[in-house]
Amino acid sequence: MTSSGAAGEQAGVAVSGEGTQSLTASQARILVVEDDRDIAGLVGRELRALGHTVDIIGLAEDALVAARAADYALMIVDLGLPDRDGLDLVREMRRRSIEAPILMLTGRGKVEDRVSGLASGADDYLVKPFAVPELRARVAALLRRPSRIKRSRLTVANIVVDRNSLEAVIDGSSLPLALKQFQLLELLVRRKNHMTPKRMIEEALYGFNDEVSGNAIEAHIYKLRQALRAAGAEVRIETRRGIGYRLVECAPRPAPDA
Amino acid sequence: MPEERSITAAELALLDPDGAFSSRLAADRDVLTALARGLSTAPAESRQRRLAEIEGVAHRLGGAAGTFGYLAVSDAAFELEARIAVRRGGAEGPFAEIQDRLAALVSTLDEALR
Repeated sequence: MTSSGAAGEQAGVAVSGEGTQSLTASQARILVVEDDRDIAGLVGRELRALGHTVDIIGLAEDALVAARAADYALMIVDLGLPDRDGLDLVREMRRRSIEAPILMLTGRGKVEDRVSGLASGADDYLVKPFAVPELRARVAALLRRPSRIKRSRLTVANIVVDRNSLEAVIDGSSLPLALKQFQLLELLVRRKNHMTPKRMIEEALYGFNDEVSGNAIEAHIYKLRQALRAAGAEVRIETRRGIGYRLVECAPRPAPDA
Repeated sequence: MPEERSITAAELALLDPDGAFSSRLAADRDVLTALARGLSTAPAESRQRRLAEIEGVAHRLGGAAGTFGYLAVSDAAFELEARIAVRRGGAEGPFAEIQDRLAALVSTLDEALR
């Protein structure tokens, strides 16, 4: 996958999320999932000309990896991909709580494809062949949509933390956590890759007048680690003695031998 | 949509600045011509396989060519795809119709490449 290449150049899906948060609506990070090199190249060229950062991927499985790794403002997904149906891909993304708006590209005259696309979780569709000005207009319309829902959810690896429902989800399954452990997870996820001082955790989890025992934070960390490990979370919490804790992504653990 | 647009040469050049899509049209034309050769006399299994390949090329060409401004190519490709799909769906339309549509698409490609 590449930010400047074309579909099919998929050696390694190394998506950098750096700088995503500072992009404005007029400089969005957009994922294009399209195996037709010419169409992908045209779409990428047009979007870059508008100031957007564009990643182009030709395979559904690589797109899924990229969508989980980066915080895209919009995804453009072709219905007919070589390794997997585009509808399946959209369903899988939504199942994994990937909330970015999706513009689906469909073939001409197939009403059922368009209906299925929207029912699967796409937000809009564009019929091929399409006029470039219509592509620009639909992209702009989708990027204008409020991102309230998206901001209420934080995603790291296979974990989604929903601050509205106070729920953590791993690979689509809810993770039962006590409130303090949920708050701890949310804080660490928000500060992913950064060291979080113990004092900051205490301030986030306890009020000024609360009595905090000497090892309370260590106990919460211990329980949270256990819960994450049991649920197959692809993260780990590192400890730096005397300083604090840091949540980092890690490779999925291999399945136990049958 | 596409049929309502008219594309100028300047717009075509903007859509395909390096001529890559034009080269693809030529390549697709050659593929279609090769697949069409001897199609009517090919054994049933081979014919079905080749028709499926032709249908795939026509589908991709229909979507891409119209987007790049080659509206007549797009229309001809979609007509061919639809004709093959009808036959694949079980309806025994005259095979000659598919051949006619295929010849029309190749001819339209020739025109576009001229």
